[in-house]
Amino acid sequence: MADRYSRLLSLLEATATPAPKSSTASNDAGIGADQGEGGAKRTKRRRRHDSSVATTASEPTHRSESVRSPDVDAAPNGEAEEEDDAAAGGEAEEEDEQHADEAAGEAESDAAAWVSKPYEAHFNVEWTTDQLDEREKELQEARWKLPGLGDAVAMVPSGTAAPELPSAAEACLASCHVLPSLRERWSARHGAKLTPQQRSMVGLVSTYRDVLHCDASLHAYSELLPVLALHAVQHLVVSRRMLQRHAKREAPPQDQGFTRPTVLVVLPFRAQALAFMQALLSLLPTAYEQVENKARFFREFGEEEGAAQVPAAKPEDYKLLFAGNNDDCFKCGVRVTRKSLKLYSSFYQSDLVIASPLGLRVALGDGAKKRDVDWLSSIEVLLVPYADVLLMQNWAHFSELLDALNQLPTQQRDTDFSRVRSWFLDGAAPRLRQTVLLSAHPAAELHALLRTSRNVAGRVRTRASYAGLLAKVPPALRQLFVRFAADDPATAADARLDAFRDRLLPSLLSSFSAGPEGRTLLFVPSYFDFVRVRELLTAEGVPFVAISEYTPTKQVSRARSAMQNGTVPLLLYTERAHFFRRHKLSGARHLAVYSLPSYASFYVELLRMLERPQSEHGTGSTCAALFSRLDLLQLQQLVGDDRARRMLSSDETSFLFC
Amino acid sequence: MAEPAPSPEPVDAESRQEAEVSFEQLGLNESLCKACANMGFKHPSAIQREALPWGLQGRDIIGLAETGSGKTAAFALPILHKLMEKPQPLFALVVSPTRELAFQIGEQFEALGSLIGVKCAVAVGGVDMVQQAIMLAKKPHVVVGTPGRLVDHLQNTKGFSVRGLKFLVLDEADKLLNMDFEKELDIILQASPKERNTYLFSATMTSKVKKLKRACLSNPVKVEVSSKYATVKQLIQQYMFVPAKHKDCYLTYVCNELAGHSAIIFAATCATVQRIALMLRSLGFPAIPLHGQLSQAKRLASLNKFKAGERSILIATDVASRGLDIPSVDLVINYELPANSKDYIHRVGRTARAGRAGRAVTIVSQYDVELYQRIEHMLGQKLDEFPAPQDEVLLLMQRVGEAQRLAAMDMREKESKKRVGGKRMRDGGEEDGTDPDLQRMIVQASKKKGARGRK
Repeated sequence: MADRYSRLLSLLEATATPAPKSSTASNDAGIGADQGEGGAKRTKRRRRHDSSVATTASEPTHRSESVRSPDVDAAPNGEAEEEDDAAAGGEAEEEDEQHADEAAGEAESDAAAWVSKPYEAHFNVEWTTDQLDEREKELQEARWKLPGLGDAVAMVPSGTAAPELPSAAEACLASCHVLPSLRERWSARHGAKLTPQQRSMVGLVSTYRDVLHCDASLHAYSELLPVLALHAVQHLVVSRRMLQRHAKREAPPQDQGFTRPTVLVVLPFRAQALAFMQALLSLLPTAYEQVENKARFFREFGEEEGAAQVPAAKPEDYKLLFAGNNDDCFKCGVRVTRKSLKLYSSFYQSDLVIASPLGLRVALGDGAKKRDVDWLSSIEVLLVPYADVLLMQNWAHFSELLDALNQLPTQQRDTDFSRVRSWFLDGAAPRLRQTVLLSAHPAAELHALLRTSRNVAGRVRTRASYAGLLAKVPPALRQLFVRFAADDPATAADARLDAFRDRLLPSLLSSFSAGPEGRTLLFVPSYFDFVRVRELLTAEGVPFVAISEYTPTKQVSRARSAMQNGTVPLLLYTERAHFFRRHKLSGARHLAVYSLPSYASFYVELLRMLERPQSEHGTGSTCAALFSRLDLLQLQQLVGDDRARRMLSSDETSFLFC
Repeated sequence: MAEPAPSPEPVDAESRQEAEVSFEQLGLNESLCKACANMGFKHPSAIQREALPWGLQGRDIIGLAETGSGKTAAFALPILHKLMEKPQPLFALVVSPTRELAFQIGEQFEALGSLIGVKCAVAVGGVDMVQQAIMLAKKPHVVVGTPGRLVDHLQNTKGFSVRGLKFLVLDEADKLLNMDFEKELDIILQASPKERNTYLFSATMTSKVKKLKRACLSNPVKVEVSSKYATVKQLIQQYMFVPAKHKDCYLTYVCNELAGHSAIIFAATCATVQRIALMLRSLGFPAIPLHGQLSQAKRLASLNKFKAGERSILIATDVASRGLDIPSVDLVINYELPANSKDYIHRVGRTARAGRAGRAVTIVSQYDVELYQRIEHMLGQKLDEFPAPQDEVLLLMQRVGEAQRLAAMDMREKESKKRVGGKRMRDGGEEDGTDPDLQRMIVQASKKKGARGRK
């Protein structure tokens, strides 16, 4: 445990901090060569700074232990400078530079190096409501093929083609207008090539369009998370540098929101937050020389000492998701100043907030108390990787958060109203906010979210094609799919219950008469359905045990052993219980699927749990599943696109796969 | 009884002269002239005629004019004219003593500036600060506000500054000073730049106003339309000498005699206003109260109903005696005499406005004789008596008595209700001193405005 922690730290040491070997020219020359004139001027400043913190530079390992203190001792000036900047960019933070004129020159050259074209075109425009309406009307549907991400449906200004990007990282990022210093960091950290997936994702997010990628496997995140981090860093650095530039002007233009935070990253567990932060820190431009509270962050978001490891027997994807610190209640503000980053800053002082839905829910307060959501008023980029996990956690928290996003503030919050962008004043912030959603599977909630998005830059949704998982099902297993009629989502739950009672329950009951041979696992994904089915079974007098996400451990083991011993013929099981626990249930011979799982792989996992008959004579294992027209998304993943289409359009209502 | 028919035709010499000058001739911008025509101003009123040329020349103006003389347009037009020459946000700041007046001035600016797209923001108390801060941040050309809230924004709203101001208007300056806004005015004056035009308007020239004039105006032109303490010529002023206990009877008689005219009845206290309103209503008069104990929303609603002609009798405390622009009042009744004789001028100034005829009837009881004489002395004229034969009046006594009882009962009921529910109501509604009704109304108004703007 402990060495894992120190490994993390050393990893970070190597990448995140600039780790200047010294203030030698070799390091500086590398930057200067890349950035030409601007870089050359900046190196001067760096050299000056480096000499002021020379004591720390000589022993870099000391930094990670107590990040702040050495600098405080060595360079009180540096500290004051950052605090100046902290005062909302009002003061020119270069005041303590010795040569004011040189500072001005630097600002000039800085400007070119820290400007991003997409940012300027999207945010730095005095949009009027009419113009926004106009832009929204110009959006047209287009079909794109994105390498690595698959087919995509895009709502973009007509004539916009799918981004075609070179595979070389430098060239690709440059054509996406990523800052030179970030490009350099990326190449140093992630190599000179981008995978097709990364390329496409950079192309999508860098335009400030809304993105929904619904085929992001857990493995893909090692590639995609850095891309999102890159986008976040780019946004933060570009906007902070712009504010600092503007603060020097006589009459600063309208260039900010009501409150400081502009990027919100919503993640399910601390481990993912840690991964994101690592990616983010590793991409930080070299100008950022220290990270405050870094040690604390890695302590609190790293694996807790003595925490139980994920058992080796659990499936691979479960281990990937739940390994590390899987606390789901956290929040952390990240404040970007000119030369440093501060973690654990308060919301109103932060530029980026990284949090879980539950953590935010706790922080925002509930409806009864006065809610403090003003800091969400000026979010410009919302990043939601692992959206599918949020669906499993508590979607209500997340949708509540979405409702609170980009509202006009209720208190003054130290806002400089003369610098608030006009479209923020008009309440048009939701129309410029970018939402990026990555999910392992398509889901109605996510589609709806994207469909109702008002981002005037447009939106892109990937559409994975599925071959289905039937090939992975154990052989000689009779799978019956039963379609019932349901058109209206409002009444679908009732129709499903009726279909279950009329078409599945009788055969279940008859199979129970076969004794232990007839033991059945009834899979009910939603807890709401679970409650209704439980009621129905109780009313019908069917003996059963149940495992849901709320069942205490003791009862779970009792239910499992009852099933295993054959004392009870029926076990109810919800998808969430399976998602969070991955119980290995044994004893069941048959599987009944009340409604299709959102994770199609669960279907196969459940089938593999079934006890296969020992001899040729016994009745084989069977599986029966209910589906309707409204289950298209789940059905596609399970049986493949073509078959799903046929199963929904066919006149037959029962489909048997052997 | 000589009922002077409201005559649209100018009669006396001054009015004839009025007819000869047009807005164009005064040098006013073409599109502003058009806006004036759209609003139904055919010719400039006396104060406009006097003030406009000076305003266009860029001089500071001190204006002494009775209310209803077209004073708002007299300062709005030169400001808008100058604004068109050199547009900039936060061009002018208008300080008004009351919220109602602030809204009216705001409306007038928007109406006059509608053709040139003038944005106007009203900053008054009782409304959410943040919403107002947002409104001010949208860079309106003209800001109208009450002193308290303006100072609040100047001190607490980061980014709101009037440093770039070109025009400062102090409307109803005497009232601003009477209401102890001196400190606030000081702050506003200090926040505004030295190089600005200042217009100071007041109905009366008190010593305090003179002091203010010295403090904030440079080389001002004095524009005076009416002589001191004079009332308008087309105004018929009458009095009734009645026993105090039959006051209500006589009031009813007057209302009855002059039914069909729009009227304002002035009383001294909120309670009296409420009582008379209830009484007249139960007698079948379309009466509506307006006083300081009503919430902001109700106050505005009352006023709007009255303006729209839904109710023709407005019963008010001195809240309504100034500034409110109700052009069509035919009759003012002083149910109780104003404690201050200058207030009498303001009260009767509600009628006979803009060249129309009007009538003011003052009810004097045996206790008011001294006050009344003081007013006559100030006016320098003896008023005629309103003919009211005693036997005719006393015929009403029974019905009036009945109505008085009903009104008294109603009042008592409301009083006890308030005492029971009062605490809860205060807790629920009027938190932080914001007025929820008003808030909603303003939100609606701004939405409407937005809708119009989009078209």
